[in-house]
Amino acid sequence: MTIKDPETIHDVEGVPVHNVHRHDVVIIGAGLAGMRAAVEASDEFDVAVISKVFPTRSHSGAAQGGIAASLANEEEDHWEWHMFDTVKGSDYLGDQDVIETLVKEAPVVVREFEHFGAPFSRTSEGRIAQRLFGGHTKDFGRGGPVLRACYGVDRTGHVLLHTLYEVCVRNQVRFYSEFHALSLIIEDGECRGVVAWDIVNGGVHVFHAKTVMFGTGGYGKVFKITSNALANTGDGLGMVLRAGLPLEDMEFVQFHPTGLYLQGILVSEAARGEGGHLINGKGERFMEKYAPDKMELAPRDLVSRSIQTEINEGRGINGEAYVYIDLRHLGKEKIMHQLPQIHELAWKFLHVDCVTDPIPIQPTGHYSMGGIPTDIDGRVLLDGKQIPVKGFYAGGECACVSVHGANRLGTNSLLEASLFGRRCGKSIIRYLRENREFSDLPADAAVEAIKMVKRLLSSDGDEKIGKIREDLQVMMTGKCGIFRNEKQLGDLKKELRKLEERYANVRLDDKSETFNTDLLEALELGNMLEFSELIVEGAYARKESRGAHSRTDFPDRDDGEWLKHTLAWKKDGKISFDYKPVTITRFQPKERKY
Amino acid sequence: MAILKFKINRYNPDDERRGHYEQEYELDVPKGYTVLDCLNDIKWKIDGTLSYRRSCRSGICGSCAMTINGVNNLACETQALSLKSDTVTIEPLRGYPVVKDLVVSLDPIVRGLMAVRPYMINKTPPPTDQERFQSPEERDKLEGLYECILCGSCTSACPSFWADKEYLGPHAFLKAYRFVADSRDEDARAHLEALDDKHGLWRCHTIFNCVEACPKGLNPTKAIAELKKEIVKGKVG
Amino acid sequence: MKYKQTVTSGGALPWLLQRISGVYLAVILLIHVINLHVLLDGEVNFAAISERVATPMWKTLNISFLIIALFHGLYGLWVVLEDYIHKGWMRILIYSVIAAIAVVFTIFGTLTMITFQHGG
Repeated sequence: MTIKDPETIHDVEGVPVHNVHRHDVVIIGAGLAGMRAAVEASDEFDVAVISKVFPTRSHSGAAQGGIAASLANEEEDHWEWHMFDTVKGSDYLGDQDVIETLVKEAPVVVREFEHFGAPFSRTSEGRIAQRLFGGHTKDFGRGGPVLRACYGVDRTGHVLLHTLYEVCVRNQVRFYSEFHALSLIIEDGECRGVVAWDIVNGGVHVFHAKTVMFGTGGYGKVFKITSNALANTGDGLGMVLRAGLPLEDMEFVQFHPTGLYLQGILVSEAARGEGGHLINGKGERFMEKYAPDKMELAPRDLVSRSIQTEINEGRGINGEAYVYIDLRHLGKEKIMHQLPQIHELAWKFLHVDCVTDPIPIQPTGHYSMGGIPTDIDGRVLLDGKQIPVKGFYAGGECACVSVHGANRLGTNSLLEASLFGRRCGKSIIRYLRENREFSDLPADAAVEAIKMVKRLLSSDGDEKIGKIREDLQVMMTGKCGIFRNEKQLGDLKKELRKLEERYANVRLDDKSETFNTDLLEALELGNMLEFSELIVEGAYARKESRGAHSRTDFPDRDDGEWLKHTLAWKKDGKISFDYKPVTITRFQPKERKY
Repeated sequence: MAILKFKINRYNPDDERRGHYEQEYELDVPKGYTVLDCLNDIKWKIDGTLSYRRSCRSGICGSCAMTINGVNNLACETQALSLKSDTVTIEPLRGYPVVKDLVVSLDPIVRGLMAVRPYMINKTPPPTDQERFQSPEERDKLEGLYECILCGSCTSACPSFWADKEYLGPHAFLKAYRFVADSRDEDARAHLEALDDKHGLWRCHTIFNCVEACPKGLNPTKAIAELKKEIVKGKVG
Repeated sequence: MKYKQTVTSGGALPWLLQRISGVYLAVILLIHVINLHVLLDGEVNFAAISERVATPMWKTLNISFLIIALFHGLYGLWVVLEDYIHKGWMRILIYSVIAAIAVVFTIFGTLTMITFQHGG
């Protein structure tokens, strides 16, 4: 087949290929990273955003607590303090040159959001209000917690996401809502577009672009208990692996300490920032034992491990797998004014009124520190180290620059997504000013994608998507969760292989083309199986405990051997590893205590 | 635990002959299960062809609005057992064209939204290295407006929208007022322009269905009343 | 994305008039009630009422009440019917009936009011 005339409609092997769409910039994902890049680049170029959900449905909108920036609106703060906290929070695995950029540009990015119209909460002087968050401290960790998280009540992600959508509308960004990206078009080390499936009407579409940016988000859905949306299946990571590119630091997965019991739905860290206490089955404020200094405001990896330890040692509430977060002492007025959404969630999902009762919580799969390796300007790296793929960018949770290292601090994710989205936009503009022509589309651009869809639509096996996915989630949570060890990871490696075999033998109930969510879930599961192995293999290989990666058989951090980033490829089902050094500038690794 | 019967409105455009029909499923529903959990169980374990939108499962993304036992609500926020009914009837949101099963076209929602220029218009350049100031009192005026998740429940419940498919819809008015009420926005007229139209504000007959339908407890009717006042003030004053 | 530029066709003035007329009707109605049941001494009968209705001030008041009540009610009906009747011929028929009611009631009502005489 050939794809030359943009208006030609082909029908290849029974799967229709509709229009070829041409845009200077094609962005996959309409979360904070994708839309922030779109806002930036649309000042000068023609930008299209492809998203498998309507833009304001993106999961950035579920973020509650805040976005970090040392604005010092409420009290003294400096970017150097923010940098120290981020480096220490990352367990010294974050690259300090990019962290420095992150914290220095943070105030600019947050104020820009305000200029765009985001309805932040305000201080009495009318400035952007700031609150406490775990791991953010004064004076290089020597002082107490610092008011650094800029917030819009407890709907910070919601206000930022909607604001970006609004600015995109103003800038006439073209949205392709409910299109699911299938494959990258990479030729001669240059990205020339993507192929996507039109979820609403069916059909494969080819997007011919000068630059492509990924803001495809995380993959919490590989875990049983997760705060993530059902859409968070890490599709971008699967596509990148299939294109032969590496992923970085995949073994580092953050578990948020406070998910609603059984549902995993997020109870924002703002609940602890505003003064909430964690209580075990014996009525103790157990964080005294684990972080006597910072208590509940220790970083997430530490608090999650503490909660899990309490549960594992039988000190959950009534011996069950949960503990309480207690907000009662904050009083009704503070809860309703500062944490209304938490009140609403606890009521609607657990029927708990947090004004009068404590909320049952358990750790929940939350955030992926690893992802697509990029440089400081968001360019995706072909070798994971230095050589960029021409015209290909990534930002936000799907990318790994790496500012979060082995553990991300709360409120640094909204910051990273928008800040590196913005940087992607800027570097796309620079690139496009010098590369004004479209490169030719290869003739077989859509073949891989069509094969994927065709195989699933004509699948005739005896496995159900839902069952394989549930098995994956249960296994990943059980054996590659907060605590890991060699035996379980080894078992899991074998079990994942079996899941892949089962996936090859699936059968879809729905074979239609219109809004086929059965097909969509099958494609998503394919992506999850693609990269889950890398999480497990990476965790198996890393024989130390660092940040969110906690090996019970290797409980200590090993800077001599493991102060380095993991790079992993998957070719023909075989996984290969490489490593690259961590950039250290201002802060030498020290023991991490809170 | 209780066995519930789900009557779900189905439609597949690829099977026009069959048209719209109702299909029944029986499900063992544990305590704490939301209607979305039930739909997922049906889809994942019984019938993979069932189509519906969903994403965040925590009531913030706005994907899963549907009509449950006659009431518009988010499936993810509705506890199945607290419906206090052995039979749960689920239909796609009314008033919108149905794409498939419980999935409706979002076009009317987007069209109404676009008409009100849904973005802050501010001609004065922002201060450098500083935010625009806004007092907490001014900020409080946005409470009840900025929280809209664009789920479409309100417009689906609105008789004026049923009657006039070009009616912009309460969700659009709520968004318009979110900017008109913002102390930082400098061009109320731009947001109001499209509203002063027979498919706009004046078609609202103050029926309050939108208020009842909103899963986030917002009040579009109040916003509409405020907008009407703004327009009349603009003409008289 | 481009937003739709709609021509400003108004609707504001009728909306405002509907509010003002509503308030006016409520006030006049209240005056009637007070006059009849509070201020009037003695028995409520035709003689007592017709004496009052025959005065020029009450004639003016009642004619304005009639016209404004017809406007308020029929315009309200007109707007609601816009929502529910879409067929061309049905619209023409119903709107003609409404217009006819308005004209006939205004003429007969006004004539009755103007020619009314006490004891006559």
